[in-house]
Amino acid sequence: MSSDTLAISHNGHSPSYLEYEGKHKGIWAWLLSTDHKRIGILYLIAIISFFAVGVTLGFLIRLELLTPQGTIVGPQAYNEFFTLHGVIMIFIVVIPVIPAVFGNFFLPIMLGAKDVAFPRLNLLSWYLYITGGTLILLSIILPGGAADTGWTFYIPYSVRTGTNMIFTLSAVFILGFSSILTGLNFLTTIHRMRAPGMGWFKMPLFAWSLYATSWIQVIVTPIVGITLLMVVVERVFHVGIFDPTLGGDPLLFQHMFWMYSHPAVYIIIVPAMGVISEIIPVFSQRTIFGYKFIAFSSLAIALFGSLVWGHHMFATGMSNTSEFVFSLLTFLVAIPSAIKVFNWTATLYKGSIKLEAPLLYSLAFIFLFSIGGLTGVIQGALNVDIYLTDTYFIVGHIHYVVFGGTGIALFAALHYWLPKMFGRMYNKKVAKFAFWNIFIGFNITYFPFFILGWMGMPRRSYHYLPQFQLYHVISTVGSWILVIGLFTMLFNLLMSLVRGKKVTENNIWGGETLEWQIQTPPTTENFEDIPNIIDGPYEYKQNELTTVEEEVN
Amino acid sequence: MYLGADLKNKIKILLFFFVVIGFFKVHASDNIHQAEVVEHLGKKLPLDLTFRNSVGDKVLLKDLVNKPTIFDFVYYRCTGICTPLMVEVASVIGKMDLQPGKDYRIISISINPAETPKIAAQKKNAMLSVIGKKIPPASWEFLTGDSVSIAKITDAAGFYFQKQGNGYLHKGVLIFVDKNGKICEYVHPGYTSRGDFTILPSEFKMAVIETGKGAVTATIQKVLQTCTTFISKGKDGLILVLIMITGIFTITAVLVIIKKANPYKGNS
Repeated sequence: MSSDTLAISHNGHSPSYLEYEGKHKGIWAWLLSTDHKRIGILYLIAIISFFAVGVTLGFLIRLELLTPQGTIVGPQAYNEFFTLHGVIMIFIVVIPVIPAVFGNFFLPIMLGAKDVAFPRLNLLSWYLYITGGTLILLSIILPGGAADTGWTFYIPYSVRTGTNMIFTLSAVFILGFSSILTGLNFLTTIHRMRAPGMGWFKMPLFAWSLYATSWIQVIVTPIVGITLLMVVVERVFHVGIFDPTLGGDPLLFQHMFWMYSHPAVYIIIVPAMGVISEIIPVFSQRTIFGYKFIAFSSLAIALFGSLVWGHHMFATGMSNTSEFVFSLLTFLVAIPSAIKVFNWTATLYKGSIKLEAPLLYSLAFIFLFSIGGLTGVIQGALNVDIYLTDTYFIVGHIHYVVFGGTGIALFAALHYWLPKMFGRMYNKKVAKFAFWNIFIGFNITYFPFFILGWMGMPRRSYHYLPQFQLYHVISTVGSWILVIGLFTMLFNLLMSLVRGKKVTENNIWGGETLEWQIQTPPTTENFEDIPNIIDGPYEYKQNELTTVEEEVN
Repeated sequence: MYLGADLKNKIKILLFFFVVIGFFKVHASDNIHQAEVVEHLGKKLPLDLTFRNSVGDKVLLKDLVNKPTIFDFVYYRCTGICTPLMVEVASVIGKMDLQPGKDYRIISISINPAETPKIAAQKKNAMLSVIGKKIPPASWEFLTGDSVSIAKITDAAGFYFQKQGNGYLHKGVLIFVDKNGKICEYVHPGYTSRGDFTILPSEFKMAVIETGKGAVTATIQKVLQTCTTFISKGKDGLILVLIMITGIFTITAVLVIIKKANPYKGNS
């Protein structure tokens, strides 16, 4: 392509990061790029691929549960299915997805910086991520079979199982390092690289959510690293750390696992909340209600969320005192989440609402996350939890929080930011069609879990008593609707990259944050000159809105 | 080197002695099982054995095992776990919607050949009164028999026990057998903190349904018991200190990096 045609095709724009030519050519221009935007897209491709694997496994699990006594696979294969589904969806998809894709791409832009603080470290963390993911895939292919312990790797299963446990444990260990490096990168970026004039309270709320998340990532991820390393040592050298027959303590494993994995729930959900806090003001054209409350509630969630791990262990025979304290803290952690929900709904009030796909997904997020959050509070109550432990109720809860929360927020973010990232617009009608499929399919699939759990259906079972079948059939049919929706959505977004209408304007949604002030798609350096920040991130023209209303009246 | 004939003979005798001892040693360790349950999933129980029921009549196992059947090896004058186990079975029968006698049958067999139908009848009356609902008396048989029959059936089921004093050392387990005598599932009851047995009615019902289809199901309950009967040896403190040190190190390192590192400034 000659420089002339380049100039014409960009309509006077400078070449975007997609066309930028550095010292590497072809595929290497991506695989060796330290540009935060290209790394974000590398993550996006990898994560969506793994997401497809996870969805397939989930689909097969639902198919298996269509009939009471085994439909397509036996108990061993089923154990491997739900373990892989959990490991892939939790450690490879939802923990990294929003920080690694949209955090990488938009955090520096939102702060008015040219890149993250350590671009090469950023690329390294992508390679670590890919190594971890590849190890998981290897564990499926190699003789021995994939791990069959459930994604929680509880002792003694994980020490005794004959499957390729070491691959899975090493994979999660390496993924942990990737997560720590990304967290460290973001922390330094936020502390040191904000544009002149951008004080802490002029940062967009997405940046605040990433700040809180990054602290959780760097502090708690080493714990799970050490823990899983200890399981590997125990398996290989038969040193008694967790296995009771070797003189270890299986409860210690549960404590250490949840010390990471409960805060990890907030690594998963807080960035999703950040995405919603960006989208809602833009599509209602109103200043976010209670900016500081939302910002500090992210930090409060990070703090309290790190102190509630014991509520996963109410049925293990901890002391009454610790159960009481963990239960109380669990109730407390609901408060900052509720603050956010109230602030989002308050922002919508009297707003000029544009019901585009990103807002539809955001509203679905509020609805589904509220169900997920409130069912979490139900289980935080000690006596109720004893009844509900290890039933489908908890499976329903985790899917409403993780999929209904972060999954749906990911789709919202894709519909919100993808046109900015690639300069192409998706088909809006198809996007809405896919949304309703996903929303309806989601509820038909997962709501019966709460009823099943209340009736006593145990989790992780490939067979079940005939009295549960009706709800399992409803759920499986729902999973088909959900998968059609997911497929339509991904197909629509992918097609938009090839055939979508070109977007040349900077600000397609009318956003006030910095990413909407720069060229679409952005240039490699983001800004020609580092901007000087004067206004806060959500200064909409509210006066105009009131005049419109007055006219109507 | 020359050895006297006498010494040679002595060595030969000694060697012979060792071989014989060794032979018996090897055999002995092959035969003695501790009180344990060795699962023989998928194998068949010998059903041509005769026992006496609680009325004193001779019964052939083949005639009783015509539907999913749960074998329960106990002895009726047991002062240990037998009664709590049978009481739990009785309470599960009461809680389930499956009909004993129609959907399944329970056969308790005494492992003590000295016990008589009269003793069995007393136990049966006691247990039927615990259930809380009326069940056909033939749906839970309390059998007694001679030592050969007992040994044949328990060995085939992998249920090993030892005589100790006046009683027996043995485990508590329910063995689910289909109508052809095939062993389909072992259900190991759990323990409560008070030392009672617990059997989940749902697990029992599932085992009955799957046994009815002749499906062999693997056991998981044994693994769980390893955990519940465990007392910590106290290495936990050390590991938690290790975590604390790592945590402090991590936070310090992150703070230093945030403060001191040179962030990227852009190419231009």
